[in-house]
Amino acid sequence: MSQEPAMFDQPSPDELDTLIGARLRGTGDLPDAAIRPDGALALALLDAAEKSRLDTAYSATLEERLRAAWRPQPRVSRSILRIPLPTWTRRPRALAAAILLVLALLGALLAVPQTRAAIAALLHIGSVTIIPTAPTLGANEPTPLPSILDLAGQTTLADAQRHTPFHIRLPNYPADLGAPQYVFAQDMDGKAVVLVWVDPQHPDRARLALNELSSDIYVYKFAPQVVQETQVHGQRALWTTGPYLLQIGSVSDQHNALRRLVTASHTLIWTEGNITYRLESDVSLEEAVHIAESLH
Amino acid sequence: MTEGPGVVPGEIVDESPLPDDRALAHAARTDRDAFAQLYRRHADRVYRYLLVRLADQHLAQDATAQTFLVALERLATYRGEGEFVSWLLGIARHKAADVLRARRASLPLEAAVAVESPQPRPDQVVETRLRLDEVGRALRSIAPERAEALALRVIGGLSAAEAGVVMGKSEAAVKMLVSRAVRDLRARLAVSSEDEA
Repeated sequence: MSQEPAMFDQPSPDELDTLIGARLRGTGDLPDAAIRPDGALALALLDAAEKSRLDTAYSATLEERLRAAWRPQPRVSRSILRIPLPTWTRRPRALAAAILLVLALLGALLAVPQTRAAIAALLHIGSVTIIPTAPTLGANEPTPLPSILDLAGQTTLADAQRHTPFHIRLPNYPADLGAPQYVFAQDMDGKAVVLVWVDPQHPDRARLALNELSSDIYVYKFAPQVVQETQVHGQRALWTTGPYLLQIGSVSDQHNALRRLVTASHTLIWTEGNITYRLESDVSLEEAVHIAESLH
Repeated sequence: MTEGPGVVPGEIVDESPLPDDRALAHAARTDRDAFAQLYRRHADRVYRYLLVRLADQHLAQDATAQTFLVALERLATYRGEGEFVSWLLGIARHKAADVLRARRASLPLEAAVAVESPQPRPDQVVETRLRLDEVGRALRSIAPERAEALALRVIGGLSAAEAGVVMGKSEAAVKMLVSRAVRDLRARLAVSSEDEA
């Protein structure tokens, strides 16, 4: 027996959704729900939405702005866990064996109290812990750009600053450096920022990559070839040479760590306040310190 | 599947097959025009969503610009696993949240009271068309999740399932939230049939 819908019976959530869908698709006959008050209001809302349009002049200006801002996009992996690693790390057995080897060597080293004390004293700075184990990796060469750029969280500097609880600092040396070409606000509690300047002579390579890391982030560097103590603004800093395996993660989320092979020739690590800085580059130690001391 | 708004009467419809959003988004990584086409296709929808969330035309325009700039910069992270417009509205949602957070932090108490009390008289609502900024002001007084669901489903034109993905809710939960949002909004706008009578 068919029954006319009562005027004040309200449509069920499913009925209302069906009505909304029918209206959005522009299908002819609308369900009975349309004549009930909630249905009628939903239709009025859809009508109001359809009539609201971005101002034509504003829209044209915005399109021009977007066209001007457009750049060819690098490929970015979906997750920081899926950052491409060298071929040997993509083979599960080889990767597992390498990690086990690293952990075994680390365990052996840490089992010796003097070694443990020496490591703690020498190889820890800010958020960074350097672990002197030695995976066998390729020859020294500048970090290829894709390995830095293949990160999640690409954004603008302004957007990164809005989502980062500390002031993002930029070097004003070298004078021609300008703003970074790529900015990544890493999704590790939103407290790690990676700034990348492209080498103008070699657009496929990074000139500088500066990581700014809050104290909630930890960094393990496995087996850099050289560790040298130096100073930035008179404070202790470390200077390392690749290649090494880098692991970055959030203290509060140990499972979602980023692992990346860094083949950069040099990395300078220092702290200021609660922030740890890593500067990857192929410049000399003196030049790197000069850049570090120019952050503002 | 996303349910876009119907064709406006009088609008010229190009019946040639159009590339879908996924194909355009892929092409837009290396083709400026493809991104411009995506922009033209979705700008109004993003703007409507932001207008109803922010209840201010200028804020909505700014947030629309920011949404597309971020989309442009993060385009390579869109991998075609969901509808492009859902991804876009996900960005817009974050932009709206940023603006609302900033506004909450900066509005003096008396201003907050003022914006929380739109309530047009019933006769005004009946006699004039609903405007999204008015609706947005009324939405501020209902539960945020309900307001969000309504904005994504009704104004943004996502399906309930897609809105659920953006909000981290089930399709059924979104339908329920929308239903309650409409009921709350009707009470807020005082457009019940009893009032009309």
